[in-house]
Amino acid sequence: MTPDQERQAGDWMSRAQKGDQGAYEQLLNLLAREARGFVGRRVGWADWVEDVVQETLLTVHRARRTYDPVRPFGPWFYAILNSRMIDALRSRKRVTMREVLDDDVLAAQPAPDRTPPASDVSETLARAVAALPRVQREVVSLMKYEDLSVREVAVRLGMSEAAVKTTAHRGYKGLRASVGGLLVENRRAD
Amino acid sequence: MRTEELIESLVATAEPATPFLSPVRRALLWSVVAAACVGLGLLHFGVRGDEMSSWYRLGFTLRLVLLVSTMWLAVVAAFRLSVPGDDLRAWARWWPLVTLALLVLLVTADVVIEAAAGELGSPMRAWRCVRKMSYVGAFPAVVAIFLIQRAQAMEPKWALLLGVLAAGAAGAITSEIACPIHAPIHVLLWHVMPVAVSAVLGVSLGLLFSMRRVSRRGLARRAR
Repeated sequence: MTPDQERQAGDWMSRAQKGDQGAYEQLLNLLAREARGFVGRRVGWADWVEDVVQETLLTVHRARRTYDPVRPFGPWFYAILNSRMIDALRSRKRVTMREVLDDDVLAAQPAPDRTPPASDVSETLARAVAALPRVQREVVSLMKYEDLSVREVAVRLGMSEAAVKTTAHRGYKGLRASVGGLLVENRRAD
Repeated sequence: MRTEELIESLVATAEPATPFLSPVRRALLWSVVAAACVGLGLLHFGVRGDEMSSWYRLGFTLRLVLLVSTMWLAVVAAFRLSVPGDDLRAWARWWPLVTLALLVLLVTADVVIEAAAGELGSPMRAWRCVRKMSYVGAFPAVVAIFLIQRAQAMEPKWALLLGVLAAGAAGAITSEIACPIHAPIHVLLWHVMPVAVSAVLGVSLGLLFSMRRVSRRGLARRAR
């Protein structure tokens, strides 16, 4: 979401809080587009992206009284979106684990390709990002998925630039540890 | 249901929604309610006989300061966590736990000193203190849970832990001022530990609410 869109969204939300249904419809359409892009950039195309979009819209609807018009709209919205995406990733992980455990036949199946599909890699990475501590997750997401500069991230999250750099460094270190571990496991399996 | 249809139905059911007060203002209002409950509790249970001289004892004053700090920091953090995007400062949620840990340390040090002097006394059962704390803390706890649930906490476990912890601390303030027993072992077991237990209760409630929310979301998704 660009700063202009963010301002516009904040304005629409404060009008929606006063009962302006037109503004509310425009806002929800904008948020649906934004949510689709946000999740898509992180996990690639997946059939459950639309579920996350709908969950996010429902939460925005339920939580609209908690939005304070004097505060920026972005952090409020992205906190909801992030949380719904993490919920979806967690529930998918549970389902996947159950499927693998239940299916002994998997052992008899031929070995998978060496290169996993791009959407699997994105999903693994998205899961690793989701497992980072909250502030590290926000910083890494904004810098890598949204392409924001250190200064822009600092402004959006209300942190100093030095703190953003340190947090990002810790985040990347954490990601290297978790995703690197997975790659080594995969190589050993190969 | 397609997303466009969902948007139409949300817009059709949207009514004017007055924004909530800021978390700090809500915390202030909650503190007024909690203070009123403490006051009523003290009116009902009475104040310890040595109340005036107790204020000159450093240990007692420090304990009260730490309990009040725990209560205030916990309720502010709980209400902040119940607003999406208002919870980025990760350390804010830890402060009330730090003050609670300091309180436990302070009283434990007293217990060790008394034990070294051979004056530990027996950790007799004192459910009366827990009862006082529960009576006084119950209403603030219900109010905190209600306010947290009305907002949209992204991490309900943390928000409810802190909300119930704040109520527990309010109850413990009453026990501290009303209870005539000074023995550190009694204070540790029957005034301070129940506050920690209230935090555990809060986490359990949070788990319960988040499980209910997830299952409700699953049902809604299937319905869609």
